[in-house]
Amino acid sequence: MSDPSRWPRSIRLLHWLGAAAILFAFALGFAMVNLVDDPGERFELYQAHKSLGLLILALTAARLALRFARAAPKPIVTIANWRRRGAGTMHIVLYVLTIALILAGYAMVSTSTLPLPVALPFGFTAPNLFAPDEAVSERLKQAHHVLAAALALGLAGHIAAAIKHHFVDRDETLRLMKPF
Amino acid sequence: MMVSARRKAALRLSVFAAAALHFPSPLRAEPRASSIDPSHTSIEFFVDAIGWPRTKGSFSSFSGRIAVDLSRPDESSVVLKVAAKSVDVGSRSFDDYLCGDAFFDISRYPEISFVSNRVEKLDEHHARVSGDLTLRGVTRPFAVDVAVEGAAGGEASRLRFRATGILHRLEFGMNAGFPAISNDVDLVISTEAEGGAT
Ligand code: HEM
Ligand code: HEM
Repeated sequence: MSDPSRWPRSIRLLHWLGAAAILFAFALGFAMVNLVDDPGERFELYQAHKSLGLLILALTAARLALRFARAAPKPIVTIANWRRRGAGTMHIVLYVLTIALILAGYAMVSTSTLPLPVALPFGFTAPNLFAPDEAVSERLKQAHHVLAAALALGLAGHIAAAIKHHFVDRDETLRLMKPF
Repeated sequence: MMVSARRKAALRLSVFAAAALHFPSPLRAEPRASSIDPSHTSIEFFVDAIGWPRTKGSFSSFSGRIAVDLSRPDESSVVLKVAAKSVDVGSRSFDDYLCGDAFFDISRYPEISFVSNRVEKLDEHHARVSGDLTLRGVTRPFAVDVAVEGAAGGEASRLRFRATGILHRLEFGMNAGFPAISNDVDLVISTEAEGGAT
């Protein structure tokens, strides 16, 4: 049924869609907080960042479900077992950090004293989950920052490893993830 | 007590209005009231917040009347009515959010108004205008300091005014985002009117 020599197509597509969306969410988050001073523009970027973040949550859930449903490709024989386990652990860490980051962001805006629901496609809005609490919201903001930094670090390692496999080890790792 | 003062002011204003219409040069009884000219008037506000740049906004739709006599400040008066939905902070979605129930709640409170009940001269170029401000349906005393910036647009009798004041939004039940978003809102209103000082 599936071609065990590469990642299933659905996983490949969602991996790259997710990668693009997450890297964009980083750029947006950084730019809106640190680079944009016009309040009107900043408001719109915040709204876009929040909506994008919740869409990434849905996408990540779909990816995770597919990971359980579909088989990973056969291990590449030139890669030592401990390295493969390391990569597997790293993938779990990336999933956990991504989800935790998004939930911290969602909880932060939910507890904000400024009630501003997150816009979703088709005119829906995500409700605020918790009662407003300035102090809690401030802590969650810090958590969002720390988790964003941790995920960025993890992704730097993940991307560096992909580059190393492709250009230094010259193995099939990156090609098995090729979207098309 | 205050209500009757306000009524009197309003009454006086309509009398000015009638007088201004029918007698271009009335018997120096009261200063001439004229409509506030939107093309020479700006209503701006500034709000500070933690983790957010200072937000500058303005209103583009308003009307009112102003009567100024620098030699008899107690005969001067101003009425200003502002359409809350004309708020502009530089982005449509931000504007729409401010119009919602957290802030201006325009479906229930479409109008913001100010009716003066006292004008005091502070010095040759400054006055204080006190009155009642109605925002979100709550009416509170409010005062602005006005700098009179002299003849405007080359016309000797036209004066330019710059009014500044600090509004405490919590007094009007506008609590959203407090304390991250400041209670103090800086208001800056500039306008022009006939001086009527001669
Ligand atoms: C743009 C840079 C990226 C590159 C070059 C890249 C490359 C790769 C490669 C080659 C694999 C296969 C690894 C293996 O077979 O062991 C992989 C898997 C994976 N990558 Fe990335 N990736 C990138 C961005 C991301 C991002 C932003 C995430 C977000 C969390 C991510 C999460 C994952 C996960 C969870 C897997 C395991 C397969 C899966 O569950 O989809 N990657 N990546
Ligand atoms: C994968 C998804 C997400 C990523 C990668 C991400 C990343 C970031 C980054 C890098 C920042 C800037 C931190 C700084 O430089 O100070 C940020 C700020 C922010 N994020 Fe996210 N975020 C994500 C999801 C979310 C979600 C789902 C929400 C809310 C629903 C959210 C709400 C916010 C808010 C309100 C800020 C501004 C807070 C501040 O003042 O620093 N984010 N995010």
